[in-house]
Amino acid sequence: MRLQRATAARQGRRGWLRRLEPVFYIAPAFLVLAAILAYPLGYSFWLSFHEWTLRGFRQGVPWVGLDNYVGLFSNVEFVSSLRVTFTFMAGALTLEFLFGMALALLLDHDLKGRGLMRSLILLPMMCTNVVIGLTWRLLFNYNFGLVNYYLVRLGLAPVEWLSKPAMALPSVIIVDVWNTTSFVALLLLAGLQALPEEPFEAARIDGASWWQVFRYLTLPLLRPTILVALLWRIIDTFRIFDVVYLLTAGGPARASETVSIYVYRYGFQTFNLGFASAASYMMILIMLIMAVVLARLIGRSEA
Amino acid sequence: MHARRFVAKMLAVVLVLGLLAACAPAAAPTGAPAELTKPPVTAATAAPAEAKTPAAKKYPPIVVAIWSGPEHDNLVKTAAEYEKATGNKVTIEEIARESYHDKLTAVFLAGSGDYDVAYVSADWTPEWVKAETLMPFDTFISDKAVASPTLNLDLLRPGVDSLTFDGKVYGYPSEGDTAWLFYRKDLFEAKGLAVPQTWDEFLAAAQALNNPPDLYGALIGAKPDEAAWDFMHYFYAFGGQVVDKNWKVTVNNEAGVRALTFYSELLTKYKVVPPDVATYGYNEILTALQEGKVAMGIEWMAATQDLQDCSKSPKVCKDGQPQLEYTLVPGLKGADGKVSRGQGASQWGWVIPKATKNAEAAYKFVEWLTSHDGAKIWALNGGIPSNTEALADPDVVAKVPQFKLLAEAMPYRHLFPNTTVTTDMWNAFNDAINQTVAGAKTPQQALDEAAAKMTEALAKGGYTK
Amino acid sequence: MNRAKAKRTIESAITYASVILAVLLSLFPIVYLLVTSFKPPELTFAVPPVWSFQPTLQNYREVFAGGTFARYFVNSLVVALAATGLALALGTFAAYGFARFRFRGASWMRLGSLVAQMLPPITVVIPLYVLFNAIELTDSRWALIISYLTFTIPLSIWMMSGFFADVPEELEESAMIDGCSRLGALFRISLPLVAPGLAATAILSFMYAWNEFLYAVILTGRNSRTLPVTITSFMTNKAILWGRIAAAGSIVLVPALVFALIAQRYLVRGLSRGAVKG
Repeated sequence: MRLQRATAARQGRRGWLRRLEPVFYIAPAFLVLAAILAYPLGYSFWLSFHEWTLRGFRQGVPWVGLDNYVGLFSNVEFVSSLRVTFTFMAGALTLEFLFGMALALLLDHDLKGRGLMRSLILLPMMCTNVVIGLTWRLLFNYNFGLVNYYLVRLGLAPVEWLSKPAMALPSVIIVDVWNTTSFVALLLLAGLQALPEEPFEAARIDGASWWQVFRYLTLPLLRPTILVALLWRIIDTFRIFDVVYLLTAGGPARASETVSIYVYRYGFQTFNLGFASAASYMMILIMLIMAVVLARLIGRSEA
Repeated sequence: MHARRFVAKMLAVVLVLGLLAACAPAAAPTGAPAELTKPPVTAATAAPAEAKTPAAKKYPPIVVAIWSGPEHDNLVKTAAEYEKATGNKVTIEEIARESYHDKLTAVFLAGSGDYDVAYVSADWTPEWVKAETLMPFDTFISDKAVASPTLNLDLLRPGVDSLTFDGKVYGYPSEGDTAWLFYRKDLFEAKGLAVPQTWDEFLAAAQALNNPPDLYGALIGAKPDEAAWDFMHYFYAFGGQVVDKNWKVTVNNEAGVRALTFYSELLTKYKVVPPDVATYGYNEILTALQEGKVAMGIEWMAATQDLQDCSKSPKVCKDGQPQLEYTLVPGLKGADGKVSRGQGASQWGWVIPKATKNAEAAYKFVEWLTSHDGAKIWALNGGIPSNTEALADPDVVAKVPQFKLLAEAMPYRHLFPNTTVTTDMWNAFNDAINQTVAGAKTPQQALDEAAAKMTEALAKGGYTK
Repeated sequence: MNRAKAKRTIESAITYASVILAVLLSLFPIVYLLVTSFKPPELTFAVPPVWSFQPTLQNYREVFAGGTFARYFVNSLVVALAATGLALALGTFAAYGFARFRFRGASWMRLGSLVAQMLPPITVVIPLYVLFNAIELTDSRWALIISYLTFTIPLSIWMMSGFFADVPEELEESAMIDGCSRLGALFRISLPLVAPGLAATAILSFMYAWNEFLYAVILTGRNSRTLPVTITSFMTNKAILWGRIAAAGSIVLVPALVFALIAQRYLVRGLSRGAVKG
């Protein structure tokens, strides 16, 4: 307040300049984004209302209105891929947040060598997706993979990780959990370390048990952090492609065909770009809805 | 404070480095020499003496796009011979397999002249032709000043037919692959089994040799996106046909259903194949054969070299002798006792994008590659060219004995119908196989569904009303 | 007294054991990759797995043969650094703007930048290729850098907003009253305070750009190819060259390892300062 009055006094006649200040900061980034994305986004949005195929576009690109979009939901395979994707998200995120929370709580202590341990735990997240997909494909190999080999050594039966429809999605979930649990743990750890000390001191003095502290103090205070991490991860898991494609290619029999793989195979490989664009925008719409809902929740919990 | 200043300085360094580096011009095209000096392995030497190309014209350098793999390595060596013979430069761009088709389509669509020649699968070309992105060869063929005097399109049949549309030739054929039945002759001899000629014999042998989990009688390759490439051998052998001559879909007729039933029952009923075959593509089949996991397997003939090379496949060699032999894919025994055969095939070729700036240079290179001289070098380097003269060349046959069997197999080869909607039809076909092998649908159901999708696709493509 | 101490020791032990277990699980596939890269290729599928063998550099030699791998490494490095640097600069300014100024449509704009991050790459890659072809930028590092900005900028804005929100306005205000311009205050006061945040953002941004595949495979050619694309070139139609994939994959991990070791401290501290409040 003091500042604004002082500034206003100094720049009285140049008040309009002051109002333009935010533009100076924000514009460059958005101008760059707009410049890069205007054509691709605009063109693919336009495409989604037309029928554009490689074999047909020279003869004309007819307007089909909302047909591409409506056709999506009457398309059994698209709906099934949505179901697969949401199942995957539910499974992966639950495990990642459970393990991530546990890991974050563990790492919150003053451990010796915790710097090194934290770096090592971070490694999976830093790996290239291509390498992750291929390495786990080797590990999960029914005949020659290490996972089955050690299972057998432990006296258990080998598992058809990637070739049994019922096991394909769990395998993909396992790989994603391996890949990003540490990242979730870091985000939660960051939130933990930002929490104020006093409530916890008070609880300790009052003799509250560990579980009570966690359930009634930590979790509620951590809620904004958890929701932000959730938002981030939801966007990433919904779009997952490279790792799943290299592990199972969406199989067997579509058991692990996520939305991205479906769009890639039936939209892009067949070069049916009108359809593919519509499906992509539908994906964005779904993610936006989830994001808005979560953002509202975050906003409310911070209030 | 200390740490913060350090971090701030680090970041400043990173930023400046990044911006400077970005401004540095992308490496000038020095890729060529490096690509062409890959460690040489028995490069073909027969060519130069026979390369009697009449005073080769000087052409500007061209860029050839090809996907990673043995074909790329072969092209590097073969192109080196072309450069030696004609003095014309060829740069090769290697593109990763996974997105090869998408990348080529993007390049063609954008009208980019980045590539002068591209190595393509014949079933990709109808769409590109329809989209008017490929250059027809006819202007060159009919131009006496350009076309080689020894050019003879008959030597390139039937391959070149799959690259011809509306009477115009859009490419010359290169790799033409088909499959063999590979079998372990040591295991067969030990059990006194004869080499299977029919599917009944095949099943009997598989059951006799089946000894899970160490050894399985046979295998199939039912990987998503690749299953159809494996199943097609069984499909055509059982007399299956995808479409009749009026473009009516017949994939779900009695022969087709019989084929798919046999194929899937190998896993579900007879259990003579490893349980994880739903993840097997070309590579996994190769590995299974190499590791001695299966006694028989139907695999593309391109694998023969690797399978019979004792340094690459030590587990299936005894005393330096390969134990894997190959023969024709089993056939169906008819009521008259005659065995009718059929097997699938793949056809690759060289095309020229319309946007090229060096059309004539590109054409001459493609012409040489598929001529007797070029094809011979290609074959001696391990490829399977489509020039029948080169395939029958005595030097070639001496080095690659399997070409003798290839000549015998020629009439049995069937290509999947080559249309502008082949990808859709292919996806439907793949899907049916995946679903059946996974036990989610019966063969009849799955093929009926596939037939419906194929019919729809053909209608959309304008092949039927 | 003793019981409390014992309890704490047990707690400690369990904590250490659990963390070590987590470390082992995280490292296991990576160690497997490293080990495979030093095995002769025929041993990849050996069962039982061969842990003692004659280590060989054959795979690494094959990866570097032809001299192009080093160039691809440099390409990846340059592209990732540039995309990170530019995004950090632009995004930090924008984040500062969001944090300090209230204006209509601010939340919409922030949501908009989030949409850019949500984009499935397959939607835009073909039009992007057509665009770059029109301005003759295909097969160049700049094409890739520009494409990567579409997700590194939103990431930077998103993360840095929270950090700036944590810096009390009063600090800047007092500087400005003393005669500093807002920009000066930003550089002299706020930026040093959010340095850990900058580090965290830089690391994440670099990682996303370093590992990106789809844009790279479509937009690059033999001159500008990056490492993830190179790794997939070892998956051919006729063979998966596991040995070379393991070797190349291990090399690609090196910057990740370096970053992780140096920077995890900043990553955590940075995130703890309020990125998660973004």
